[in-house]
Amino acid sequence: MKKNKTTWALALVSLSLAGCSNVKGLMDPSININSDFEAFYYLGYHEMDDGSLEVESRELTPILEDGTGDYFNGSVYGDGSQNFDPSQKGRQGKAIDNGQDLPVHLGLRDAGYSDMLSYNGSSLATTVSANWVLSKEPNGDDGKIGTDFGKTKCLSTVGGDAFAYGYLSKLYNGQMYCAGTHSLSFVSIDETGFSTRLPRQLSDSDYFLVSFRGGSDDRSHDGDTTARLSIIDLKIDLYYSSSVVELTLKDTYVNTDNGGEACSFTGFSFEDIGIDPNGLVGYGISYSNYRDSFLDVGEGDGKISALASDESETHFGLLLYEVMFVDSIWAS
Amino acid sequence: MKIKAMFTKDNALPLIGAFVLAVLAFSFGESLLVSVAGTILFALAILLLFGANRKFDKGEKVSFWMYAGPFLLFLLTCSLGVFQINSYANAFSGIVAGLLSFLGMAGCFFFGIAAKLERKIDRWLFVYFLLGGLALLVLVSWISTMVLYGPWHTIIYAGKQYYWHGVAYDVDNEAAFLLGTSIARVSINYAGGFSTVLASSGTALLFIDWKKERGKGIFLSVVAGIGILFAISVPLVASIAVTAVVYLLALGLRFMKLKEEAPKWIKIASIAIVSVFGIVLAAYFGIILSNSNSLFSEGILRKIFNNGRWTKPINDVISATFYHNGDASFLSLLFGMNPFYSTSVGTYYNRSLWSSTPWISTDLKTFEIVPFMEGGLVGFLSFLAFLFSSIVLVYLLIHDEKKSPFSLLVGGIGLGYAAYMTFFMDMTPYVLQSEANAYVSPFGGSVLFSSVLFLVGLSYRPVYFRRKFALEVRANEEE
Repeated sequence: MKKNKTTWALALVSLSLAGCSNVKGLMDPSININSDFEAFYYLGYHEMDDGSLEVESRELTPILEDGTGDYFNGSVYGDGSQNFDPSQKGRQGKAIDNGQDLPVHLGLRDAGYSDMLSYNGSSLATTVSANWVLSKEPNGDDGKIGTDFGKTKCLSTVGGDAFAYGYLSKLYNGQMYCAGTHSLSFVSIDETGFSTRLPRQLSDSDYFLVSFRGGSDDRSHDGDTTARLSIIDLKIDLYYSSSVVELTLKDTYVNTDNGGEACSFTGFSFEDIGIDPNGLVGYGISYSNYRDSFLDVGEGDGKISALASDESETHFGLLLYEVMFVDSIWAS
Repeated sequence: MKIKAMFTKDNALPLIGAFVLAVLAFSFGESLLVSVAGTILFALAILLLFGANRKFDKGEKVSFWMYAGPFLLFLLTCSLGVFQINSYANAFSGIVAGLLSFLGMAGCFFFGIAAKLERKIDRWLFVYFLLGGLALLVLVSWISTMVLYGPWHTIIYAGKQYYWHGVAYDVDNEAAFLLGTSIARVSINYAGGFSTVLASSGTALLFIDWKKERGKGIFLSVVAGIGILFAISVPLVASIAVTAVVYLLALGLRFMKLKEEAPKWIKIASIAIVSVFGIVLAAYFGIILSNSNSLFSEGILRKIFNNGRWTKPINDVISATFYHNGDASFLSLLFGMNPFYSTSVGTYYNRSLWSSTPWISTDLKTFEIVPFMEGGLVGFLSFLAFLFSSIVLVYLLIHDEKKSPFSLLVGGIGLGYAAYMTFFMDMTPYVLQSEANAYVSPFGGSVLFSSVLFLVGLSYRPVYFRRKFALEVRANEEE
């Protein structure tokens, strides 16, 4: 009888220790519903930071109309694949305030990356919308695979369900821009950003691509329009088992407070910049050197800041919609 | 009757039926298996009923069809109505699936009647197989829930969310449940239906003679225990509440004396309740069908119908049935909603006239409204007639059998099931869309409804013309 009781006790203990896998990585819903950017930030998740890694730093420049440069930086509303021209007006008719003469950055179509928009040799529909929403419509998400850029190329389609779990699955689900879902769809980061271990190890990929826009809780600004162009130095860290390649994408353009569809597709070909994606185990995204026309207004606490730790009244956030290792092959 | 003695060659058919019943109840949580098992039961019931050497009195026959007529009409409209046929890619698949669902549900009821007529086998044997299968299904789901979420996760992780394909889900609103060979995430309201039915079967324990029926008592304790364990360890609050009410009523009945005849006030009160209910229902439909939605937008009617968490979905679903994406459709009104509408862009779930919410996204909690949606006014009214007859049936069962454990088992399960499904039904139980079809009918292919139908069949007795019928029997005896 005594033995019996012990068996039961052991069984119960092992049962309670066994899994609870459905309650891992739980988040507080306030990260989705708060309109205060300080509460929005995906803060403090630096899984990959390890001082023992061998560091290689590289600086990349945007591809310009003369064909020079390393990374593409496109923007057209809802389709960030086209060229990013700072002199163009925004979707809502508001001027993008740049205040200076800035060069046009080429998007993936004109920068020679148009093959990214094709799939299995056949061209994808011109819509790059994702229709990711589990909308309970009869022709749901999976019907978009093979026709929509986002749903076809996203990591949860290519890499499988390993990419479907967790808060960062927002970046792997194929939703390339807001599509009316607001804060539910993006991951907002301050300058410190995040780094994460990928659920599987990368064997091969043609391109790295990130889709984003800028946002802030500085909505009215001395009667000025809020839509504006921001410029940042985007940092992409590529982690391997014993080293890290830190890429700085200099002078990346960002559409800020210009509607959820005003996003940018930004990225590079691994081959073109001479980096082997084989063995990649994680990545990190952060930025520095945030500049826009609002930055110069206000002083001290009244000044807009892209750092959560700054006690400013207003904050800027880089709102990430999607991270892709395009046409990737995953090892394990 | 010794159980061992029942396992003879002569009893082969009903014994096969009992086994199929266990498969139906376990069913791996798959609705198709429920329908297939029910269809086999239908075939067995036909064989047994035609083989039974029993003559039925004319009054008994009329009484039976007064009961079974509306029941079959309700099944027909729900299984082969506008809703079912349009749910499938083509009408042929819809008709085949509908036929299977119809035969499955009818099979459970008729096999119940056949089992009742089978004198050589104790009816409890069927109950053991049925509840055993159901208990196993819940046990597997309970263990999965404990392993994947840990105990009391709806309290410990209250308000927390997890992400799946970038979409946030509330972890405190789900439990694990067996679906085929894998474990699916289901809403706690769906899981609660199972624990309520199992736990309610324990009401029979209050009426058991423990000296004579020890085995029965132990079996029911284990089965009800599994249901209660599931409900408490998640916890499934709605299920606990409904089960508690069922036990309180059973406890009251335990110490109440039943008179030979129902007291007059019960009859008068029943007639009054049914009449008032009928008038309210007629007025309600009148308002909805006359498209006077402005009546719902003001004053107390707005509070009740347009703001109520319980009533608004009812309102929306009824409206969506009658107004197919905004256009009045009398075919839908009579025989059920067309769940979809198509445009040049694609196919979408049908919406109600005054709400942009598709019917599938409304949080309909009331299973009585589903026959209207699936089978139109014809289905709804025949369902109400069946429901009313069944309530009388259970009352008569408890009365006739003088509070036998069996009558309380049926009464407890029936009340627990109906009460729970009136307030906490979930027609979209699977949390992750990829795991199953979005819509899960509480009737066709439902383990719980099929189980209850079998128990109703097993306790069938003439409900109508009883006095006349009894007099006729007495007159015949005197001759």
